[in-house]
Amino acid sequence: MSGGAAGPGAAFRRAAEVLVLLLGALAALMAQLAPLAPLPDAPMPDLFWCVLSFFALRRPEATPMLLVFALTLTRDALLGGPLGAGALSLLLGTEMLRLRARATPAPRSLLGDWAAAALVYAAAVGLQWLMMALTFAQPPSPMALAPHVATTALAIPLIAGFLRYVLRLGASPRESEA
Amino acid sequence: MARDDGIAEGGAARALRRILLLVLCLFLLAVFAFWRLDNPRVDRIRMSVVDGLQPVIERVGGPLDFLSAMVADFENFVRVYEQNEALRLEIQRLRAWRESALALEQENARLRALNNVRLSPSLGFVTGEVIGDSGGPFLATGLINVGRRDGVMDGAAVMDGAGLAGRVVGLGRRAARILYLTDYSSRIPVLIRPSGRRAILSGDGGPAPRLDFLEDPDEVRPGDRVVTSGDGEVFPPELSIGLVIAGPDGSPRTRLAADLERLEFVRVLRYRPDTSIDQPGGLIHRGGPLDETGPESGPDAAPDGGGAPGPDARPGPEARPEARPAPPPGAATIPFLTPSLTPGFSAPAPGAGAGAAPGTRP
Repeated sequence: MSGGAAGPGAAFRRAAEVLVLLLGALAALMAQLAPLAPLPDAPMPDLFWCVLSFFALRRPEATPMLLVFALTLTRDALLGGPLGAGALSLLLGTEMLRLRARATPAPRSLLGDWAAAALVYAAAVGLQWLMMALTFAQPPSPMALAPHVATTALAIPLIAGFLRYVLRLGASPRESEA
Repeated sequence: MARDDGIAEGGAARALRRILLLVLCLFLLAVFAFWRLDNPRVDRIRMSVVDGLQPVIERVGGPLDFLSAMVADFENFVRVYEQNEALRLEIQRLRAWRESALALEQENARLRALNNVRLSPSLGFVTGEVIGDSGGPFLATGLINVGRRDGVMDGAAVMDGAGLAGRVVGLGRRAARILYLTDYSSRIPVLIRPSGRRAILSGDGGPAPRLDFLEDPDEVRPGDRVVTSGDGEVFPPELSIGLVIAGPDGSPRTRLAADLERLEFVRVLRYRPDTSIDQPGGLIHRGGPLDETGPESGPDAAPDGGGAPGPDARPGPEARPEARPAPPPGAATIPFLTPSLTPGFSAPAPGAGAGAAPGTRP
């Protein structure tokens, strides 16, 4: 099926998915903002990235770059992190996942997608750390970042499962192939 | 050509996409550079975003708070016997402390009256609710639902019931952002009691911030109290921060009195230093020998004999020699006397009578 032959039904479905991405990402941001654990010994996973990586891998057509740009910048403004650095690293990370979604044939392994999302997130956090270090902005020690990356990696399949099986979004590549 | 996932793969579309990505990346790099160069201005913009989304944050945060409270309640229920025993022991200990505190309070009041101490009228506070924290690994910050309209000032000290929690680093109309003491960029000048040594409390992401640049570390022992020094006039002096402990490597750290893991309500202090002494007094003549008319008759003479007059200073009756009251002994000869040594306390006002009653805390 070509994009041009998709018809109004497909366009409506895509718009609905974009809306779900918008609302899902904002809900993830609000959940991250909830005052549950300000100390790093109880790190909060990056739920925002979990939602974004799911859409970038499973619904790349419903993940427009400009929307990702606006969402990541809003995330930086709300969470109080290094403004611009977080948005830049997550935007690049999303594009890397989109490249994987385009380059890898449809029946992709779930484990591979999970590993890709986790590794790209680790790279994004590393990029933020590097930008802060290069500009003398007192970044945390890399060891302090590791638990945060680990909890985010563990949360990725949970959020993906919720979006896939509860909200019925983004059929897995195997299913779409069938 | 387009794939079935809708991503256009044509050469022109791909080139456009790359150009757009490049432009966005350059823009974000510029935003980051702007944030590093002009942080206060960027934080104002950032807080305007927070201001706009504050009602949403509060509405979403409500149910999450409820869930969090449910989990905490369940944990408390599981450990109820253990907690009960600990609370009984603590009550016994606190009863002894209460007697000591009452005795000290009475002694303090007597000494204040003897010394004619005037309480600072400028120390007030506003209570706010914590509606969000950063949730990220790079900053330990929180959001509270009070802002500029409530009289919160940038840099204000934020306390929970037990001690200092942080300071305001971003200010919106209805919300403010707190930088916790545990954050990597937090630096607070402190005093160690009872030795009186000074140090800098430096956050490093852990629950117990470091004590850097400590004077005479040998004089400091675990269990000593850590309080704000008031240097820089950002915080009032003598705010409780916590106790000195030895870190895993033996370096001095501070166990915070504030419970940052369970912050719900915080007090934001509205503190303005009573007097800022940033110029020499009238007795110190700047440049050249004294003229015949004396230092107080020059253009820099202050009406009270202290610093130079501010922009709104008007010649009052005290400026006229016949109306000037006799200065209290020592007032004119100690122009650099720090007026506020303890929270809410300041030195007697020049000319205050011996029988003047101490002021009251607002």
